[in-house]
Amino acid sequence: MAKEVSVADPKLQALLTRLAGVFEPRDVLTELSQLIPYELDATTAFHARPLAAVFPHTTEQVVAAVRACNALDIPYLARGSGTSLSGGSLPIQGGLLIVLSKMDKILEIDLENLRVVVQPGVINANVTKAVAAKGLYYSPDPSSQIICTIGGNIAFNSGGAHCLKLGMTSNHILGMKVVLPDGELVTLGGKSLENPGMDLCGLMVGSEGLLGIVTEATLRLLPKPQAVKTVLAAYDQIDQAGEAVAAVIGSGLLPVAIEIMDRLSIDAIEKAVHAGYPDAQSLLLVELDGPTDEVLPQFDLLLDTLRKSGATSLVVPATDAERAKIWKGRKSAFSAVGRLAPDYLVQDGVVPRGKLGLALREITKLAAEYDLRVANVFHAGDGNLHPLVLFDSKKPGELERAETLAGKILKMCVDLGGSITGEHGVGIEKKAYMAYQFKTDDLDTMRAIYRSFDPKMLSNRGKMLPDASPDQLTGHVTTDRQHPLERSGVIERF
Amino acid sequence: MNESPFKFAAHSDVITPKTVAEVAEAITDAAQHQRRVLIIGGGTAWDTGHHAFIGAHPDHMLISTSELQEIVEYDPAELTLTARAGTLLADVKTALAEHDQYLPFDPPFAAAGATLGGVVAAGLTGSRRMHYGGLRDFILGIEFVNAAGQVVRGGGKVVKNAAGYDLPKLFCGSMGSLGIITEVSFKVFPQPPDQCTVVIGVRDAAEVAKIFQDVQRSPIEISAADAWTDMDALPNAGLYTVAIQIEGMTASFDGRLAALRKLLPAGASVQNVGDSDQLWEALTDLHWIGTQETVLRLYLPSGNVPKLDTVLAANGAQRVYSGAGNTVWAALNGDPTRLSADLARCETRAAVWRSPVPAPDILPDDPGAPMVQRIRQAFDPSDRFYSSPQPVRS
Repeated sequence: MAKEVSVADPKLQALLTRLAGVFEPRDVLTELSQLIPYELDATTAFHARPLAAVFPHTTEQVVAAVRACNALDIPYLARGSGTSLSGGSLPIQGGLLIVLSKMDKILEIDLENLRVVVQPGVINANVTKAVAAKGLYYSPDPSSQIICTIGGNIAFNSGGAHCLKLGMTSNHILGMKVVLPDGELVTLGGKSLENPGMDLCGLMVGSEGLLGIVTEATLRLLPKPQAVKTVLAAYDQIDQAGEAVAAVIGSGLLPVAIEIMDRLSIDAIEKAVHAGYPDAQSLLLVELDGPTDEVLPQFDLLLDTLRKSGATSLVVPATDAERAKIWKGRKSAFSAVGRLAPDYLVQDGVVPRGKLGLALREITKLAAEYDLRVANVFHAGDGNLHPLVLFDSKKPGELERAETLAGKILKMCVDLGGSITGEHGVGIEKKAYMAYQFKTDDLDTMRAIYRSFDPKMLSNRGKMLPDASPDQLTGHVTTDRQHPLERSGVIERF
Repeated sequence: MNESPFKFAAHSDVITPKTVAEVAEAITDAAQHQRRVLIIGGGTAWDTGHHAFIGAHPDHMLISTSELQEIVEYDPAELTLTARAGTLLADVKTALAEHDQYLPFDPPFAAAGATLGGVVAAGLTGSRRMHYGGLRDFILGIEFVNAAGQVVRGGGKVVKNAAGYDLPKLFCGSMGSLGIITEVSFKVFPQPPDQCTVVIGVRDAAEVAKIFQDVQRSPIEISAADAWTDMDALPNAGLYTVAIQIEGMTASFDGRLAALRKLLPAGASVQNVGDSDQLWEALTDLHWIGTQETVLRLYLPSGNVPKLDTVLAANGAQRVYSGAGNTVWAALNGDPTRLSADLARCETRAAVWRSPVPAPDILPDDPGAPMVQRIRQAFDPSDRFYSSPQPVRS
């Protein structure tokens, strides 16, 4: 590395010395002005300054970076586009940031076996784009799919709107190359749907970067369905929409997607993207796919079930373009609702499907209690809530109220038998709530895995697993308006 | 599969805990006396290496989950089911069928007495796995007793959950090496109202592979595609026979079968199978395997079926390709390690299920071994649980 380094930090100097000859100077950032854009991810409440950032093009470069960090005890984090909604791709203060966005090649399209082998920096939507002409697609579709990367999807086991029938990211990853935290490179799985021995890919997916860095992944492709039928049902009350979900499942249908939006979200979406949604207190979106001969009679049954469930109107898009418009509205919901207030927090807790109505009533009650607006858009088929808590951080006390409210919603999800996260991951934002969902022995098992893979705990240090102290349960709100990590100087907030 | 010659019942010391607390007590006791622990479910996977180990080391503690039987929670509207590990797979299937639901990944050996925990530990799936997903795709949560006698939970009971490491998936195929599974939660699916099966006779493995490839690409949604050659215990429609299943509304079958026929090679014979349940059970539960001394479960990219078929034929193996050729069961005689070089050439890995001589668990190699070692270190540093089968038939 030829670049002169003005910084006097001896750790940085040592790191740069080790990486000289491995990375081109243009693939290493050390200047403050260059690093600022990498200080945060899509969870903008958190903010931390990395020591440096490197942009590997090859697995060997990732190995070299990880080995250098190990030798120098420098914590590190690999990231893709930084779209994490849980602060999972927030840099580690003083750590190395390994940005995988230049490892963005589709290495192999295997049409014979319906697999695609990609580098981790490949954008989710580009996988489908590369195979669409062959009548194939890659199923996991997080709302951020036009910018988020496969590597990030793997780290957080990203979901999307089509998980009920087709599963999350984990269900579509069949093989991978992983740089373990000590720099050892392992190959897991392959192109077969099944593998002998314990499910190692299954452990890696959703491990939030704590067990290694995926530098290559083998994904399963599916044939594009012959027929897709979508309906938007309007309801006077959101409870009715929730009950309609149970009726649809009870009828024996297995829709590929079931979504609900509430009044606040509908209004915001209409203003933002003019999706053409009907005027309603709540909208239920249901989609069926499969062979035409199956889907058409199933769709009749679905419409009948929805009529009986008290829908005031049913909108059936007549063309692919009309259906795409409906989905565009749904997928723009976060940014649309974001326009309603200066700030918002989004949670993604899960409740059993049958408790959706109860959860929504509870959220409404909590919103009134804390005097804040909460918009709800959610993957109803999975019981996966997405309450968006609106607030204005400039108004004294609002951020604290919003965080307390968001925390109460998470605890409610656990109390109802669900989970604190369905698809955004724990990251830094929800790690304090891990101890509410899991017992000490459960968490100790996870800590033992982390330590066994990474005795120095350098890989994405400080994420997902709460510290072993019991006071963590207070959540991420404190009376002095500081996150515990802020107080300890690990992170900063805008 | 024929009854195994190995009988654990002869072992003098099978512990049958009735509660999770009793499982924990047993483990604590084993730790105090420095005894290794072997776990038994229904004993249907008993042909793996474990039995021989017991023969060699009668002082090891055997813990059976046979008294841990209960469907703890089943709410059809939630499409989820939670049961204790020793619950019979057959009982779970019956309970689900009452509500027109099922486990679409076709876990095997229900009739022989397989348990839900055993299905998870053995990591087995059946024919419809190709379309709906496997065991790993339907497991939601797990409770187990670890080597320290602590009760640990991973995952959850809801269909979507991204909190913490995915321990339920890790336990799939772990063969009792990480802990004693005491409870499992699954996602279940509505069972389609009807099914239809056809058997197709073709000339060679290349035609089989072409059918496998085409049905996986077809949007008419094929649930299962298995194939075999020249087998007394199964119907033979040609030199090679492919069985294909479609599920759904009866009215859709004519149209979908017509679309399927367009995918088949010219001159292929196609016959409807009346009572197909029997056929699929024979395939899934390995009724066709006889007294061969070696049984392998092979994993491969389905495009390599012709290459692998040549290897298996040359080694005198009877074989059934399952899940459109993503997995194969093969029954043969002799030392399985002789196949290693050929398997490597076919990008195929084999789990050694039965062997006349000591053999590694996985052939030709297990590239995940460095990771397995780290995981075992985290779960079982004192090597309490049986982890490295060396199957030897006495």
